[in-house]
Amino acid sequence: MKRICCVLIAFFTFSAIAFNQPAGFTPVKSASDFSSKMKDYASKLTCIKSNFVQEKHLQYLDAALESEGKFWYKTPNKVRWEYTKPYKYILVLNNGKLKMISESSKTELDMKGNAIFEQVNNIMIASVSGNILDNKDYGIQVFENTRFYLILMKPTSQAISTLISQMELYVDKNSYSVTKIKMIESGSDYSEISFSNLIINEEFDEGLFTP
Amino acid sequence: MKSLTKVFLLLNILILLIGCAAPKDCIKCELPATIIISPIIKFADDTPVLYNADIKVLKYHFSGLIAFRRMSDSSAIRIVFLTEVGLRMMEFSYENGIAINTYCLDAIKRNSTVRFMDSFIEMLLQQSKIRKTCNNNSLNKSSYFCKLKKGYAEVEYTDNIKDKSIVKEGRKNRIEARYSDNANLPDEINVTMKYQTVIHLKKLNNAFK
Repeated sequence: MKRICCVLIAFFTFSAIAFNQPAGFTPVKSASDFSSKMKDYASKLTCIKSNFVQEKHLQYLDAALESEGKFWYKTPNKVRWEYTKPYKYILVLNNGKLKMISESSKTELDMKGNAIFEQVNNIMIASVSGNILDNKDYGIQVFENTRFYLILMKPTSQAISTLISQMELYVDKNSYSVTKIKMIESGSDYSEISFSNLIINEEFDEGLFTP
Repeated sequence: MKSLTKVFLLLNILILLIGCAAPKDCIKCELPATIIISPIIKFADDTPVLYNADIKVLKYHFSGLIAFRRMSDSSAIRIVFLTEVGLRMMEFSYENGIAINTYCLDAIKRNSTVRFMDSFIEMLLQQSKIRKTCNNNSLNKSSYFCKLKKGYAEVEYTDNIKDKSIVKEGRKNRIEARYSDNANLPDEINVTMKYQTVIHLKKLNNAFK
């Protein structure tokens, strides 16, 4: 009887791990090694310039919306997303302020008065800078394959989980830079942002953050 | 006093005559049968369509995206409102002249907002029936008085797609659509609604994968 129980416990434990494990990835072999290298990358990072492609999968329409643009990041908290196709739109996060510029309007928000915006801002900055592993607002699991580390993040805060049910960060094994972010919403919709032509630590005009 | 009453009556008659006059250069004529005018946005197939939306309500100014798709397995049209960065705000299903809200982000969930968007969608997707018509031959345009769900509206269009436009005007709402290369999907739509709301939609090409 004890044997049967042990077999059953082992089976269910294995199943639970297997179901959480993304296809093509295995749990990271050396979590401490990965963590120290990630922290090392984040500490040396000063700025990023990159192109991006965003795919928004709308389950309700059974269609994927594709947009692209340019991205800039400067430590500690300056981010600019500039959508160029198929529409023009700029989103700038700068020292706790959020600025949104469309073709016809300009909106500025102070994120200090908005807990959700502030948390989204923090997670965006933490994601692109690689400074994510110590974040207590998320339950974190790390996996790997031959090319990438995959960081799975599940929000523990109620405010964030109403918007995002899970985040997946794909980290390049050579450079330790984040090359893809997947945000799964509380429904079945998800957004995938893939970065390309990443230029790390090459200075650019800071005026980009004060449009 | 009597002369004042006469002047008042004459003025009233004059205002009545001006108000009932046919639009400039138009000759009124009755139609032999009811004619259906297509909705502002008409879907020939199940290809999804995306519009960039610019919304002004009182002193507030918003922008976002509106995606439409006629589902291949039914006649329902599904509509999703989302921000430029991809955050889903609202979802609607439109079938048999009625828009039904199926999802709304908690932060903007209010009955008045949902009802407002319901009537906006109905304005875009509702068919209109023509009761009367008057032709303007000099400009090769036609103006129609259409019977809508609530009241009447005036619809103008030419058969030449490049110049095609539809203007529907009711007591509170006005919608104007301009078409260029596609007779079903307008390039630009301007909507004026209650609460001093002005909505401008611009079609975005090659937006879906």
